[in-house]
Amino acid sequence: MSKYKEPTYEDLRKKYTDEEIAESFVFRSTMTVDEQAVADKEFRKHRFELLKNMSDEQVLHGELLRTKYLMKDYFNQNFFIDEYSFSNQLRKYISLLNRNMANFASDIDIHKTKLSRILNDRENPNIDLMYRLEQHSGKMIPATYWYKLHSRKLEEEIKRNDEKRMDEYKKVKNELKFKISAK
Amino acid sequence: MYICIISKGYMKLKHLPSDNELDAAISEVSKEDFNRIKRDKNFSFDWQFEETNDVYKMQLVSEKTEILGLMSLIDRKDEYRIHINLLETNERQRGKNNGIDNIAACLIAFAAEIAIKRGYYGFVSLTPKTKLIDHYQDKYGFRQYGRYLGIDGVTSQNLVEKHLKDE
Repeated sequence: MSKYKEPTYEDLRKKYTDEEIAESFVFRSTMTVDEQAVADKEFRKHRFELLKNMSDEQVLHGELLRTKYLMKDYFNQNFFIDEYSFSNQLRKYISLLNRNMANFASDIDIHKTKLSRILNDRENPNIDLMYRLEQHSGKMIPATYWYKLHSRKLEEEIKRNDEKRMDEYKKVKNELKFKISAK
Repeated sequence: MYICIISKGYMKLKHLPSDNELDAAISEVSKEDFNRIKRDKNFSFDWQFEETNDVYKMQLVSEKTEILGLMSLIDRKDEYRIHINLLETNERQRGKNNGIDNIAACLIAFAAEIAIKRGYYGFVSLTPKTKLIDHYQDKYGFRQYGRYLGIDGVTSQNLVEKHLKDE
């Protein structure tokens, strides 16, 4: 154990109210090994009971929330990850719902062929679809999240598509030329 | 290729004396931080003892010399939960109307977000002192599970949405 003389609850109580302590501390367990074993056994029973009794709705809600927060983490990074492309996240979303493609396409009022093309990266999603996905998720995953997934991939394509860049460069006339340049 | 997405929390805190809003962030404690914390008189617990756990610090975005709060987490994969092993706020920020509000609440919300992202349905546990149980329940929505307290599901989501900044 630590060589420190760490403050106890009783020490802190001389200076703070219980409310203030709860707003400033969570203490390490001071249970003995035996007490801990009993407490853990009891807790495990509660925990697994809770997991077993989760409704399908609670599981879906939890998984969608997880998907949303993982997307949020991805947006805080500066790089593109294929797993977080629009199509891959939409595929993940549909699999969480446990619905087939045709039914899901009908839910969001698009043709199943169009949905298939988007999922296979042969067609770009439009903003209409992003709003519909927001509504479909019970507003859990905002349209802006879907837009950010799409725009991150577009940005990556713009950066990497040298062949297209060269083709388009050839079509430009009277490009600006500067004698000064950034050092 | 393995890509690690760094978990970072951003939030707004309130400076109680001035009522100003302050931007803060939570990030992992580094080896250098542990040495710094050891010398910091505003933290009373032996945080080096927590080095084998996941330890996070909260700092203001504009003032990174001071640590506002620390939290040590244990990932109990076998029980689908994140356990808060130790949490301590900076002594200068403790007490009513004294310093910055909601530091512990933001740290607990950050633990809840991790528990959601790891597929534990937001389950966060702690071992309470008996006299603090009511306060943890009232302030954060914890429920009792034997000797432990826990939050999960919508309670965890509410904490995250109340205390951590969304896009």
